[in-house]
Amino acid sequence: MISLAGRDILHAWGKFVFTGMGLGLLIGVTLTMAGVYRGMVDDARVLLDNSGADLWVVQKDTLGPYAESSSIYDDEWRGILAMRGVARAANVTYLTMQVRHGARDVRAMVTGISAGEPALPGWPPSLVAGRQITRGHYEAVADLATGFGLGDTIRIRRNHYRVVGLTRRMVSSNGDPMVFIPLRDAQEAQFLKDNDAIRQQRRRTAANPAFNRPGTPGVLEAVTESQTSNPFVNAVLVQVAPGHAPETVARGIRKWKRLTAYTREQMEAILVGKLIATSARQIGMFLVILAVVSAAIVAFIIYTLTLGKIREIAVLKLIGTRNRTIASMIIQQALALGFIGFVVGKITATFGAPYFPKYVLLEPMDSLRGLLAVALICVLASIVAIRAALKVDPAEAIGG
Amino acid sequence: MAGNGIRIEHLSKRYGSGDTAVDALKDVNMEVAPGEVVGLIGPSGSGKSTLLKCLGAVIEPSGGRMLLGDDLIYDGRWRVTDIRALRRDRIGFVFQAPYLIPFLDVTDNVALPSMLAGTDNRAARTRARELLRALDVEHRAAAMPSQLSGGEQQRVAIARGLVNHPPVVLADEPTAPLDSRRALAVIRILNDMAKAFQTAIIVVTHDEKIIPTFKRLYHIRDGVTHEERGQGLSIEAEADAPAA
Ligand SMILES: Nc1ncnc2c1ncn2[C@@H]1O[C@H](COP(=O)(O)OP(=O)(O)OP(=O)(O)O)[C@@H](O)[C@H]1O
Ligand SMILES: [Mg+2]
Repeated sequence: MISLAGRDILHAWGKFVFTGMGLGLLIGVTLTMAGVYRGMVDDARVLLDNSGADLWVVQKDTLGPYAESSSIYDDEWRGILAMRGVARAANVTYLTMQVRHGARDVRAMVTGISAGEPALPGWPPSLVAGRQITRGHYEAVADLATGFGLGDTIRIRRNHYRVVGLTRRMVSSNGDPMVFIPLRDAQEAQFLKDNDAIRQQRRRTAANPAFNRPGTPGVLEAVTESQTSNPFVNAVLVQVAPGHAPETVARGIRKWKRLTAYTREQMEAILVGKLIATSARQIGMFLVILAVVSAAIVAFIIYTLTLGKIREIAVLKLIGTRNRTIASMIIQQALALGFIGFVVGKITATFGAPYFPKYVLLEPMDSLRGLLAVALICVLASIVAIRAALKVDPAEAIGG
Repeated sequence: MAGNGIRIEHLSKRYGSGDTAVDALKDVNMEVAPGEVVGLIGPSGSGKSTLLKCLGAVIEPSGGRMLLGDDLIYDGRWRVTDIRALRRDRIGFVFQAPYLIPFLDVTDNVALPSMLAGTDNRAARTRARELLRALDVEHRAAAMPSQLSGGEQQRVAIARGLVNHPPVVLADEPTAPLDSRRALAVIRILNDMAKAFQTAIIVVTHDEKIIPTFKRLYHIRDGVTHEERGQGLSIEAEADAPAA
């Protein structure tokens, strides 16, 4: 027996290829959407991996430092370092903002890392060019995605920084590239007010009789001093000593330090389950819509192609073709259409992914799932056409 | 398979029921011997198409008997279990329009009923080619139906109707779209094929050009058949001219 579906497709290949390509673009968009979600999850994982931390210690009862704001005193880390099972601990600040470079500005996550050796958690684990920050002020390590180069001068708030090193794929969970600067500078950047605001605050403090008492001149100075410096960081990153379970160490910190501590798994659950959950649902909604639209297109095309063959189907039935053969002919055509669409879609998505501003991660398993979904959609979409074909009366071939 | 013929006794067919019922066939009696071509004529609405559909087992009669050779096909109910196989293996169809499958080439169009019956592709194609040769369209064997003339398409359709060597071939106005020379050529081919394969062929027609060629005719009026002697004119002379 010859393949009726195959012959029909060869006969009308132009129709199949063109509709397949249209469908393919749609499938390409679908695969890309899935890739955007995977990219977001991967960005989150990369952020956690690159921080080099086993534990994140944050303000009590917050989901900080990424999903909620958190601030803790910048001297807490000493106490944490002294705890059993803690190998290293370091302050870190995160602030997502516009970083100026010449006339343009780039959205970046400015990360303050404490001075010390590069192995401290929070530091970029490796550089693609240049060196790590060595001075306590006004040096920066930027991610390639910012577009900055070695030696560039960038502006964060009122201060200028020289880019001394470059990293690759160091991003926030939002996909914004990271810029590392010394902790002191970062604390200042988070807190810094413009000169007018500082003068205003000084004036108000000085006018307050409680702070400006005749006879105790030191009080006013101390208060103003405390107002202009920022003793807070967003989190303390902790590396656990070998042989200690992160969860046990975290429990100790929670109990004795009255802070909240998250392990790597908990942090990932927060990022994926909470921070990007809304985006994920948004993307899921798009995937559903795209699947429905694809199904509608396949159903419509296959139905139209089948209606155009009613006379031939009547003849086929009259000369003894099984219903099963006719149904499988229609399903095969729908699958062929879906397959062409999938190949076109996969190619489009693969070549299109690098042009997206955020990371698009096309996972082979997603492609496989996509292929199965396309096959399922095609089979479902041919039901209408098959029903129409099975209703055809062989007597129609004889006519009146 | 060849040499069975067909016999119909008191066949009736009623469409619908109650007030709207139509008795399309009331008392149809026919007998066609193997190798014989008979004409079936009658005014519009007399029941010709209905009879053809009953014979072709695409609709069920309401009463009477049908026999293919010695096999009882119908006597108030179907006597064969697989109607589809009956149509496929024992009845050939030729329609007014050729109704070829547009996405199959000429050879496969002819071979298709044979392939559907389970013959392997090569054997089916060989048989198809033999028929195409007999019908003088072998040179178009690789063409697609859309590339053929109307007469060529009709001959390919006849080849398809004959490929399984069915004992009965039903032709519904097979010459309607053809001019008189091509119409006669088709009738001659049907006569030749009937003899060659011992097929009983029933030709429904309105066509004045070909009616005189039948030796025997059935005239149907209001669902009742009357057998008539035809003129049985020889068609050799006219049809010898190259056809379409
Ligand atoms: N499906 C049907 N339902 C009800 N009545 C029908 C149906 N098909 C045919 N008839 C009626 O049965 C009668 C015979 O119809 P049939 O089609 O067999 O005539 P015919 O001889 O083929 O006519 P024509 O030469 O015009 O094709 C007509 O009165 C017709 O209206
Ligand atoms: Mg009719």
